[in-house]
Amino acid sequence: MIAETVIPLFSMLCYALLGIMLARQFPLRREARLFLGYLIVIMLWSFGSFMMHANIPSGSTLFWNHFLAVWPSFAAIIYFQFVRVFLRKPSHSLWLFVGFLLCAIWLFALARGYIIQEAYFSENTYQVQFGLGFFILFPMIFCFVSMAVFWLAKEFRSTKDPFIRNRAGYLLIGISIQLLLSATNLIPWLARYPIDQVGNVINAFLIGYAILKYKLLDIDIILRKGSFYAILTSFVVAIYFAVAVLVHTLVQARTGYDIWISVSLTGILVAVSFLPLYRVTQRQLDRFFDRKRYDYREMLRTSSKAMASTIDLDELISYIMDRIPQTMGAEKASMLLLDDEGQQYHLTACKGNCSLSHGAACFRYNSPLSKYLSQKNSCLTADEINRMPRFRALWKSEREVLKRLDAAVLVPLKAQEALVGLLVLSPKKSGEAYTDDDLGLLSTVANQLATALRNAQLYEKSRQAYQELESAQERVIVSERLKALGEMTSGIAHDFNNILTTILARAQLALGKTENDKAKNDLMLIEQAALDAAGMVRRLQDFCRVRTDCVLDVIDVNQVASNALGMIKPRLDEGCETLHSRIEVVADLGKISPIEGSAAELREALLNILINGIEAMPHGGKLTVKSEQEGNFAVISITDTGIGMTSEVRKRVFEPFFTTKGAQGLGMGLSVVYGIISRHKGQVSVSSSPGRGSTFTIRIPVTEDGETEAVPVQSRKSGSINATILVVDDDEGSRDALRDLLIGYGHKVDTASTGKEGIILARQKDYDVVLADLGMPDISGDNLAAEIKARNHKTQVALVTGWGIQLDPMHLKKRGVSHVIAKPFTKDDILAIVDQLLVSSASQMELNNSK
Amino acid sequence: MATASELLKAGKTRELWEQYCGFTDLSTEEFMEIQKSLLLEQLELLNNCEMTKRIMGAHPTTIEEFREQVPLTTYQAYIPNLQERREDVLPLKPLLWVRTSGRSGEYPFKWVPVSERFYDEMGKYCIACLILATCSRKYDISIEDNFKCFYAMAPPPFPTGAYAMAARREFALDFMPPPDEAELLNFNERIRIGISQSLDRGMDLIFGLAGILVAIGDRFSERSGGGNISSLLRRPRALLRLTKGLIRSKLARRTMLPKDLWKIKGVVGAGMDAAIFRDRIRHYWGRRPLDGYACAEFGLMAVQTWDYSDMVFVPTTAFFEFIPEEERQKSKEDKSHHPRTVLLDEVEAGKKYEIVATSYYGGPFVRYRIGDMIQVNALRNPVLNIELPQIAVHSRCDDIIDIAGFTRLTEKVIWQAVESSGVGYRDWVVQKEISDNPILHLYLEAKDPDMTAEEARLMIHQKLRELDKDYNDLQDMLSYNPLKVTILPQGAFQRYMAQQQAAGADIAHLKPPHLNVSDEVIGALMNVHES
Repeated sequence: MIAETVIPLFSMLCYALLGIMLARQFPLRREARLFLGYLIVIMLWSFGSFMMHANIPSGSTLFWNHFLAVWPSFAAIIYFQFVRVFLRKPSHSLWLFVGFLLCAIWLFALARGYIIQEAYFSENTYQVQFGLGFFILFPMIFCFVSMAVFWLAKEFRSTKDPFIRNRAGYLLIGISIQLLLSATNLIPWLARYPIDQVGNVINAFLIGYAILKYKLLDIDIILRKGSFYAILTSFVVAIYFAVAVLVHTLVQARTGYDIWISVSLTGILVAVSFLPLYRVTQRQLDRFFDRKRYDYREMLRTSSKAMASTIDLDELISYIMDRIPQTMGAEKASMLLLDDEGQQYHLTACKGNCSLSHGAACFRYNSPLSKYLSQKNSCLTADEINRMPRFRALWKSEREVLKRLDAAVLVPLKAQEALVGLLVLSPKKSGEAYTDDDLGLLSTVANQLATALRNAQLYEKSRQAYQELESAQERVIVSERLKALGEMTSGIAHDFNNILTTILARAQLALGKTENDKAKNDLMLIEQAALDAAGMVRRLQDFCRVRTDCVLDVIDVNQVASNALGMIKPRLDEGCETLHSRIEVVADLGKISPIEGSAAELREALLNILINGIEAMPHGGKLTVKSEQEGNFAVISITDTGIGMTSEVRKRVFEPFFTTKGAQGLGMGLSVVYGIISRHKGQVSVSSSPGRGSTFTIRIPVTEDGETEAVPVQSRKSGSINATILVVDDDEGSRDALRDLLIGYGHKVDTASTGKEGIILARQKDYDVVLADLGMPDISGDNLAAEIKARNHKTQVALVTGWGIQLDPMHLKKRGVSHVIAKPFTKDDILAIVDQLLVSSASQMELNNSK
Repeated sequence: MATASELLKAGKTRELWEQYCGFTDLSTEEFMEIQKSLLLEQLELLNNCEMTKRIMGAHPTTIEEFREQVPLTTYQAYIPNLQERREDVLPLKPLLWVRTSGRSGEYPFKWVPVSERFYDEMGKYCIACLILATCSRKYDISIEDNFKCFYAMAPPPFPTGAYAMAARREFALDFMPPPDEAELLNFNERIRIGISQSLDRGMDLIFGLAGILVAIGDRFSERSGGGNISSLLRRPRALLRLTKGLIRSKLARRTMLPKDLWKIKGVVGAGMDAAIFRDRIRHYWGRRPLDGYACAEFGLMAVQTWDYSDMVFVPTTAFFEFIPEEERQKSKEDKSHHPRTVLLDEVEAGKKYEIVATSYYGGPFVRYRIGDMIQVNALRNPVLNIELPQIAVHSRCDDIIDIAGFTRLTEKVIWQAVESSGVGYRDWVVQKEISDNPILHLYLEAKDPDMTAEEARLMIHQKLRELDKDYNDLQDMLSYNPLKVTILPQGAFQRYMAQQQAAGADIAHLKPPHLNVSDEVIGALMNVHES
């Protein structure tokens, strides 16, 4: 009996609550008005049922029965019309007219007793007897609701919009249950129970849920809070009743203080149980309304942890791109980050099929999307983008990007108020829309993520900067060491050249004088040893960058590289045949401007590196030669996949005489490379680590054009004798050796040990040729040449130097220097040059005479 | 993107409003952001098109460069490419071409290319007009799918027809007559069939030229019953509607009007006369027309809001610049003067501007002088809380009659004066004549054959004094009354149009212009009764 009374009452309250929620939306649209009408009618129906089952006042059962029976027919027709309007069905007033006509007939039949013949309580059991009218009219009214059910089902099946599906779905389930349970009225033994009211309650709950989750009819949510307090109150009331009944039963007879005991006990129980009860209720409601909240909390927790502990950018992005789409159930996710220039957001990472290429520019920094997301701190959905007028300013290309990313939600990644990137999620696999809770979670994660990304980016940048700094520091140290070494080597080479000049010249003079075969052999050995030593000194000078006795020309680096690769081919073939080690050579030569330099020298440098690379790959590997232009520099890189080198080796690799090949290596190859590249005003560097091969990178400035005059040394053409020659050299050995050599070939030779002495002599006598040392303590050779030339321009001046020929040819020409002769020289070299100078002197004289 | 139909079906009315009418919520700053963003996109297209590069004579990449370097243009600059409908020279291949009337003797039509995206935008703005025309407050969505729509505008390829079709992409509208059928009919037949079908099926909406709606209302009010009852007997719905209408009119003790037959939910009016006929349309049809400002080159540019007062610009159909009136005057006097322009966020309330527009979405027009003057009435609408400048179309630039340098009367003002004076008229033209003093000579065909010129002059003069302060001052300060009225013979305009039609004139040239008509036209109007 209590259940029969409570259920309609509860139903009535539910519908009253729903009605209030709806009425709060005033002014109401048409479908909302109809729905409100439906809720009111059901509420009246439940009220009638309640009054009837409560039997208040006693004996009025038939009246309340008639009262309650009025409303189902109206409810059916109003619901029918509501569904038509809700689903935007074409308006046919005929059916509505028929419906209300039926209601009118129903009312008439009810009043005449054709619907309910009898209704009464017998032994506390409700008894009802339906008339013929009920069985005729009820199915007809039933048809209207069935039609509404059919339309809702059709809508549910036909639409792809998950939002509409859900809205229609809950209405469909609710009314179906209500319809089914109302049909129990046709079965007499069931009609006595308010089963139809149970259907009403279920329907009310489903409508409430649809309002809560899917904003059915745009109704605001108050259900959650209302439920919370209602449940709490119910618990408190229940406790009170339980305690009161218990106390009343147990102690009343004996004490008479049952009310005081009840109240006290209730107070204590409520005080003790309220807080746990509050928490349990809150948790259970949250769980009921937000099932996903627990998953989200978990995600938030793990993400926070990961983001706090990961500093590597790639690792962080990879983690997020796995975790977020998985939790959200999204098919795809993409991350766009702002480029270093701060102009564009580029696709940095993608999860799922993505039709955009990695790194593709997606949005401008000042596009409406990025501007909006910079200003707001919330997610942006595709619906909002389509809806909000400001996004109509999106460019076509940006709309295309959104389409290709299959964007359903854009999550801003903001750090320090700047939009550093965007996380783009596609629709959920389930087809459900993103809820406010989803978006809230994404915003929270995004805030953390943006900070973590920012930190990771800063870390990455500082790491790179540190690496660059370290590398530059290393280069400076190596460069300084090599420079010092070069200066020292240069001095030694100079002194050695002077010594070797004496040895060589004396040996050659002695060779011309002696007839003793054994002595000749010995002298020839001395001459050869001196020449070998001269070769060694020349290599040292190569390293010291002092050799410029090569032709400088405008050269094509790629051509030189191709030549060098061609030259190592036999070596590669040999290795392939004898050692069965196959080395794959890859040439990736890009377009670069020419450089100014010596093709022969550059080729030698490349060959040295290539051969080193081949030797570093005894078991085969890959040798890659790549060239490209970076700004004003031609960059050639040679990479091998060989054994690599330790950092210690790498630091010393360009030092002369440093070798890892033991007795087989001279340790000059890479130092020569260093000298050659330095002479080309370039840089050479190496990166390597053990087991991972090495890369040598050469950077040489490119040139627009330019040709350098060559100063070739000609072979001896004629044997002029009796020339007057002045030899000026502070090194006595060299000076005397040269004098004796020239006298031996019939020339008249004077000598001077200082520059000043040379000038005095040149003033006193007109010399055909002056051979002067370049570096003398009092006056340099080029200044001496200028002085002599000023006095007698016919005199041909050649400089002899152990420093090599590092002076600018144009400068020397201006100073009147005709030749530069490197020490040590051979007899033939010096005689050929003297002959050439004499020929020039004669030509000059003829020219003057003709004038 | 969800269409209006889909949003409506899903019950997302707030979203529906936001999607279509949300531009009314923009601030001027937001409006300008949209304008500038779309212009930058357009500049990329313009800079890659030979025709527009030639017209611009520059390669602007910023808004500032664009405004400084690109000259102002008129339709002449686009001839013959647009006249020949050459798609290969355009910045973007168009979806379709629309046309409007050209200039007599120069070009018969103005052909205008319409890109896909522009067409979509126009469809959206048509829906916005529908919503605004049927609402009574913000977020009030009264439109419904399959609204019965009486279509009294020019069919495609005229812009009004083309863009109304674009609206059907967004929303199911039941046009009467259906567009494909309407294209085959002449204007009068379309109106007749539309009304006939509406009698059977009802009428929820009207897309119509204001003058036509008034003319239909006039016909209703002048007709005193009658009609073919036997034909109506075969159409019970029409008969029922007419019966209801008749009862309503009898209860109101007047002749039957359209509003007795249909409960119109919205009227979207077009034409310069919409503002003038506003009250009469309301009287006849029971609802005020929503006014829009549009042209063939740029589609809808501004629209009235739901208080039916001023208009606001729409942000995404063209980039708008405004030449201040004094700058315009200066350039008119000195052809070498390049008038300075201002943007919407720089306009001042109470001032008049000539409008200059640049196409978006690959359209060809660059800094194009449409030839219209607008007046900025306020910088915001405090009643509706709209933060955009409130404007009204003032006049055509060349439709101004200057009286003694003292007052400059526009077509609109004269029309309003004639309309509100109480003089029943069929149509009118006006001409400025110079004798000793300048004379504003109004030629008017009165409905009442007994109306005298003096009666009409006094009534119209009074209204002109009320409507135009300068005109009033002319009388008060100089004691000078420049108005002269000549009553044209009965049927003068109808016969004139028949003559024009017989001579093969385009639909737009059937009627004479209201202002500055030639002596030939005056002669033709005066003499038609003799022919």
